[in-house]
Amino acid sequence: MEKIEEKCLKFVLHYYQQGKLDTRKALQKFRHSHGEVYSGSFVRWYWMVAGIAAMLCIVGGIRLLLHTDADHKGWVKLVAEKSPVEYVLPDSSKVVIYPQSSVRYHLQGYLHHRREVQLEGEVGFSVRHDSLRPFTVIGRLSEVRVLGTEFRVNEVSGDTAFVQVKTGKVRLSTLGHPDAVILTAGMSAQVVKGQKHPQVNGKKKMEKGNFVFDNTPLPKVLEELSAYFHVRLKCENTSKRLTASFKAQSLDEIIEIIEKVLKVKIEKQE
Amino acid sequence: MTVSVMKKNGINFDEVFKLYYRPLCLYAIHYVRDVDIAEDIVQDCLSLLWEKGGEVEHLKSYLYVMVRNYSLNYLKREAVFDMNCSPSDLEETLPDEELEEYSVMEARMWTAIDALPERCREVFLLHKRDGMTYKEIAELLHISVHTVDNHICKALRLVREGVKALYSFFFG
Repeated sequence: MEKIEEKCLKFVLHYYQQGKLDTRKALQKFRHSHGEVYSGSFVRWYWMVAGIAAMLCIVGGIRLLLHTDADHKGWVKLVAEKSPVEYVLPDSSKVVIYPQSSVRYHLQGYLHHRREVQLEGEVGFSVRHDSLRPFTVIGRLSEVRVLGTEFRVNEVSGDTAFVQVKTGKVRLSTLGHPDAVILTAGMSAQVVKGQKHPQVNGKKKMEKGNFVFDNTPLPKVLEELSAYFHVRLKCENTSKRLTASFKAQSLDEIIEIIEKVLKVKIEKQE
Repeated sequence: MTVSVMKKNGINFDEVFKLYYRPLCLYAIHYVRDVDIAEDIVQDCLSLLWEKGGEVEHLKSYLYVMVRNYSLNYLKREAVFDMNCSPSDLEETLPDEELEEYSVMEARMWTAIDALPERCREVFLLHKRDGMTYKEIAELLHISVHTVDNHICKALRLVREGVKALYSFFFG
């Protein structure tokens, strides 16, 4: 039996990371998805985004193209011109299309075969988790494949594609080449035209972010912001709730706004 | 804050997590070779069971079969080439039934490592996982080789005891 013990120990040690396989956290996540009571921000967030997206479609400055004729056979293309467009994909994944950028996908293909979208320019993604159906973004230079995560792909420059991961994990490759790298939360990488292999940058501090809060308790708000910007935010007053939406704003800007709106003082520690 | 216990179709999911989450994850890791993906797979299996499962007779076997199927589906679809992992480092493949048994032992070992005192675990991992010599560890942490030896012996003892424990809840 000792030989087996040795084998098992070697296996466990190879994969051991402190904080992983956290049963309590996993159960919490499970409750969050299936329990009746939840903290209030996650599920309603998607409805709010869908509402925003619908509103943005009416406001000027964006163009929504929907092709349903024989040539295009169910392809949906979304284009943002002057202001960012938020859109909810059929599986509740969310995209933020920045100005002068577009996203294109096949409706039936997305629903029934593969969650694949084509990208031009710069788009942020918040992908709904589904381990059975990976989400793929195909740009002109890069291809990103994920399970469920938040990340941004920037192909505005014709020669370089930038990919930045906020949460989760993505697999990034140069379009047309098999070599890929795995990026985790906080990491970023480039795909340079002409180079077969993506260049990884390692963990970088996030500077700006998009957030939507809907009657979210302040401690949860601070928790989310702390995780994204890699800082520790604290506030004496834990009873307040926040309903706000922040687009591409820096942490200091966001803190200032929250302090003014809720009349609280927030402490920031690196 | 949720107060209710997650129960459905006669299955107490709180207990399922406590008893099976870690073993199932380690079982999945044998196939997919990645901790995060394994955790995702186990979450998805348990979610599916919650949403669609009816009465299940032999829950433990059912869960293992589900996790195995999800893992194999994942492998079929993904030819993921993780630069950080070299297949030659890992043990040869074992038959499924044995993997199931081992996963329980491995879960106990993981729990035991979690429970080690901070410095003890650090030294243990540096030696057993990262392959540093006693001398290298001693230099790195500014402690004596004798202390390194103590830490490692202690860790091995505690891990072995953890494996033998009759009641082991994989609550981390």
